[in-house]
Amino acid sequence: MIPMEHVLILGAALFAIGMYGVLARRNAVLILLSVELMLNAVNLNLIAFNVYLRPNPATGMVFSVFVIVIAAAEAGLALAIILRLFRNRRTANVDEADLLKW
Amino acid sequence: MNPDYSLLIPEYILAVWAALVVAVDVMMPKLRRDVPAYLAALGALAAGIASVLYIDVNKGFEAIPGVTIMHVDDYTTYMRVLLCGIAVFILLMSAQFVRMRLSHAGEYSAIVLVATLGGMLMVEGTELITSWIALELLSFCFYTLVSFARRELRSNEAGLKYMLLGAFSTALFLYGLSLIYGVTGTTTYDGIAAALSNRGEDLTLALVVGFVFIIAGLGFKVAAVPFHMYTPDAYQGAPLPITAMLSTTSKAAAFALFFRLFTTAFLPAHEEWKWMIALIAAVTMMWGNLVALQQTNLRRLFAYSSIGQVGFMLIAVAAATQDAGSSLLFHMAGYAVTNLAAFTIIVVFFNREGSDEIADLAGLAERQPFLALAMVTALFSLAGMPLFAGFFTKFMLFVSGWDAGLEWLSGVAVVASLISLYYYLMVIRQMYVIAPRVPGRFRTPALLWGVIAVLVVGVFFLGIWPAPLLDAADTAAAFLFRA
Amino acid sequence: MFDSINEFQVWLIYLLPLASCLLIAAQYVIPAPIRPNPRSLSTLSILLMAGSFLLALQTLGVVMNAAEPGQMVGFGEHRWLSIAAGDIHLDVPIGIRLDGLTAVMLVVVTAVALLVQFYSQGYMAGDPGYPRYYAFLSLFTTSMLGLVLADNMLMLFMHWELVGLCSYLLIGFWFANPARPGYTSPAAAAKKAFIVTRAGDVGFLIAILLIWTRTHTFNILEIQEIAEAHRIPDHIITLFALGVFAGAAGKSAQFPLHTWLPDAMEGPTPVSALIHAATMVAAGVYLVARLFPVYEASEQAMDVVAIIGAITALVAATMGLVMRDLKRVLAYSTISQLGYMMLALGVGGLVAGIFHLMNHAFFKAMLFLGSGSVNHGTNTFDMHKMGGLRRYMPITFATFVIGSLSLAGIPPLSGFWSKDEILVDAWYENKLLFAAALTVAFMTAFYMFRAVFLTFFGEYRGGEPGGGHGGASAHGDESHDAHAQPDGGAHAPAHHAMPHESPLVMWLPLAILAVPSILSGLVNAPFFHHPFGDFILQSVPETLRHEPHPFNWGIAISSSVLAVLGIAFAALLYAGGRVRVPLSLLARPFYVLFSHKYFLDELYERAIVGGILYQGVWRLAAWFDATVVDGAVNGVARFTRGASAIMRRAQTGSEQSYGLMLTGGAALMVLFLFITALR
Repeated sequence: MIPMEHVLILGAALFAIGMYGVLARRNAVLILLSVELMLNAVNLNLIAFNVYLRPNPATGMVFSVFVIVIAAAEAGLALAIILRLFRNRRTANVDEADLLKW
Repeated sequence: MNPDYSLLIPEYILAVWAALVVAVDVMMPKLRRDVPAYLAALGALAAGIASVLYIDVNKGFEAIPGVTIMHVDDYTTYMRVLLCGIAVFILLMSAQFVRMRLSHAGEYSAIVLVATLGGMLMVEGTELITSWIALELLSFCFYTLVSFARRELRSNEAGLKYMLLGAFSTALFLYGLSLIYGVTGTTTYDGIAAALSNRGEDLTLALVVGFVFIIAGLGFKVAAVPFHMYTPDAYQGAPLPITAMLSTTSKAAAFALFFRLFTTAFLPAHEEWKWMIALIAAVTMMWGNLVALQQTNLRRLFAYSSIGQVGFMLIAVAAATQDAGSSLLFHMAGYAVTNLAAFTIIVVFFNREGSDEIADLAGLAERQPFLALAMVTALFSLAGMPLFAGFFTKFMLFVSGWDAGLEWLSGVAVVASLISLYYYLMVIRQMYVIAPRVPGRFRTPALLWGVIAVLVVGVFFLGIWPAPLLDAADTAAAFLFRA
Repeated sequence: MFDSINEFQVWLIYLLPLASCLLIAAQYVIPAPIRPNPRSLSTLSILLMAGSFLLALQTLGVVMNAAEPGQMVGFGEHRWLSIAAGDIHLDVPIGIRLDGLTAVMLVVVTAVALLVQFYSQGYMAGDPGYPRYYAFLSLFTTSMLGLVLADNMLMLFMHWELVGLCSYLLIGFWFANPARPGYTSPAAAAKKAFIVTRAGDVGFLIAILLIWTRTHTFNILEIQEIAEAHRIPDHIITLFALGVFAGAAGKSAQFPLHTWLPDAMEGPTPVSALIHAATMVAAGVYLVARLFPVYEASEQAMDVVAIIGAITALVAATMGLVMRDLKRVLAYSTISQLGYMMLALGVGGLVAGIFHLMNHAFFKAMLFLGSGSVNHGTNTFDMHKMGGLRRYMPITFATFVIGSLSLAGIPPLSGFWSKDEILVDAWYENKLLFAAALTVAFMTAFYMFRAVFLTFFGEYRGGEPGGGHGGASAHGDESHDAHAQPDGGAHAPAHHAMPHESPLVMWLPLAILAVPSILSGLVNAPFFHHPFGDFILQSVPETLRHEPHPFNWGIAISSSVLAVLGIAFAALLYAGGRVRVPLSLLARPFYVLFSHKYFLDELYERAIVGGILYQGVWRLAAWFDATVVDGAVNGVARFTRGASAIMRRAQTGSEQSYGLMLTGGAALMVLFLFITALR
């Protein structure tokens, strides 16, 4: 069986990639995608801990299901907001939205 | 055994009422657009009254036997009443604003109610998944509300920034939760506390990294430096009553969650996270109050002022003692009353003038002496002058911090509090000393006049006779330290 | 009548002015056309104040009649709030501490407040903010009385802050008036006073937090007992005492936090008399006196108090030498005298300090009210525009001279007795401090009589055009209190009415205050066996009740001679109606004083030195104070704003930079953890 550490490292790597994406991407949709990556890293963690450390009760599994559901809702809401910005400004780039500062 | 569903009646009231408000709005398209807000205010009031009935109840909501996901006790009751009260005032100050500037009045009011519902669940949650979902419920409502002014670029932008950063911080928070779950193997607060007290002497790195991520996530919600960056922008871009709500509901609920989580679940590891939070508190209060000095926009000023206040409140979290808890709850109430007063005044001014620049307040004392005087009251309270609510609530926070061995932090807080006086005086100067740009007196609408008067009286009441509320806060906080 | 007093009567002293404030505030709810006449409001306020004063007198009588005069009359405490959380029990009671010190302060505060309110009827007549003025004045008096009565640190601190707040409101009373040329505007002065005094309060608040966590009590008496028995470590006592002193230094305008007081003169003059001469600025001295046993327990703290007091007295006195503005002379003189009181306390002279506080309150209030009267007649505070007023304003002149003589320390006026006691206490403690105090005594006599001669002697130099009969409106359409119209000076009429004596409501308080200015010194005169001293000493534990030092003829004579010399010097320089003193003239007094050729060589040298001193060093000192000390205080503010401007730039508006900051913060914390974990 694959050792737990490998799963956790995969999760951490995924998390880091997602984090990089959030910080480096300019397009709001891509930022959102990167956040989804981070959330999936969380899911990996939860399931790994659940399976390897305490298989019963399946709290981690339940948790990850909730994370998936909420992430979906989040994506929907975020896309609506991005769309609204796009309608008004014809862009979805976050660095072009800087009316509010200082 | 089935869970005791009767424990959540205030929540049901809010949920059903929110649906009702939307339904009424849909059914009666001719309805004046300020009516849903008043209707919703009634709902919040009803939920608040229902919450009062739970005084002295001390009972857990067990989703499955042995897993308490929510707990109703005096702590919950205190915060429920506070959150419902805030919602009532937010809705009252929203009514005319929505009528003049926003569409979808019914949805707006309903979402305000749902946000309050989310806040209440955050307070009650005693299990990580539940608390997190409640947090998300509150956050989603706020993402929507901040970008509610659909055609305003500022509102769009504020919503986008808030949303994206919020999602990002949620990811961090969740990663932290997953690590805690990994170390302790459970998600209930009690279970975590038990696991943490049995873990022996060695410092588990995963655990502390988990704390860092959780603090980052919650720090974002309460707007602690350096996780605060969205705050001024969101405050400035959001519809004005929502700004008020961000600074009260969002902050109060997040702090209630923060405090409950850290003093019940994580208390055995106090030594590990105390210094992180104390450090963040010190940076937050200095940063918020310093940057506030240079602001020209009222809402940004209040954003930074609220960041400064967050620094003060974080003292209580870092101290994590019972009297820190009572002073936190006490301060939260005093702060909410004061801030609501200030924002109601700003709403009245904005409805009339369409501006939220400090410079445009010039001559307010001549144009509308009542507003100016009420604003002075609110500002002196925020600055922590005696007679006003802010003095004693802040003093209690400092005492509890000092008592918990955080002398340096309380010292920094006293200095930060001095700095804050400076920018509040600048606003007062603008209202009294500078001649008005636009001549002519104007009147405050009767309802909002009443609201402001009530809140100002509240500010004085808490300043002169704080004992009743402090007693209540103390009883409430005692529940967290029962064990 | 003087046998006993119940607690409610003592509370009434506090509550009557509060009632007057609330009643006046309440009338604003009534629609404007049917509001009561402002006159009736001020009458009401004065009557309530008079009631408060009478009760204060009765209280004093009761305390004097006690078995041991001055002994503490105890009343129980009342629970104001208390929380019990775990092992911590926080009780905040409210209660009265009534002993000799309190009783004296009560009488001083209520007496001056009453006279100032009476006087203000004339001075503030016609001002559109007349009711508001009385409301603020009453609120101030209430807070001051609360401060004096408080038996615990927290109540004291709350009233302390309220006093500061009222001072802010009153200095900025004419907030809409523009700045006089060369001075700050009332609004800016008010803000400065508020911020600077609150900077001192940072120390005070920290001291309270410190002492509470160490002793778990706010009660002043208990804190004193604990400190006296050294039940907490000495360094804690010292830190506490120094923190409290920081607060006291802010309120009592001690170096280097004194810069706000001269600016505070932009407020109405009766306010200056009440707040910035007699009561609020004395609160710091009172506070140190109230906690005297704590200070006695820490030698370092006593030394700091004495040294700061001496520096303040010296620096401010030099500043007073060169001011042109009559009120500023008085302001610097106040700072200097407050330094004197602190010096007295610092060398262990509790009685001397409080004695001087009382005498000073009376004659300085009179001097301020006198300067207000002068302004009423001439519409200016600029002494270069006055002169010769003794012919036009005889009563003001007479009282002003009495006040100046008392302040200068001419026997047997009140100022002499208390100043002498301070000098004696300093003499036995530290000769250097004594020398400083003696120098100050000389300078005091000089600058006060410089002011007297410039103002009242010579020929009238025209005053300032304008109404001069009160009535500044909120936005400065009328000039008032030397807030001349911005364009007023440019086309001043060549001739206008001669100055005249002020109305009865204004000169009567002056005349009344002249009585204690002359006589109040006798209450502690040595040949009456120091009754006042015994009275005050009852408020401290027995171990601290030192026998008074015997009357020292040498010191008394030398200080009196110095005072006379100062007056003579001023007379020679300024009596001729001269405004600016040419350098060569400075030699003249020495010619006259030492007409023997015998001293001539030395004389030349001293004349030159004197000239350089006067024109150079003193002006340099004035410049130093205005630029460096004040600049440092302002510089802190500027630095803060600068830092703020830089930090503000972090908010770039770009979402990604926000995310970066967020991540960076979390990453830093993790890094920090790794470092501490590896250690």
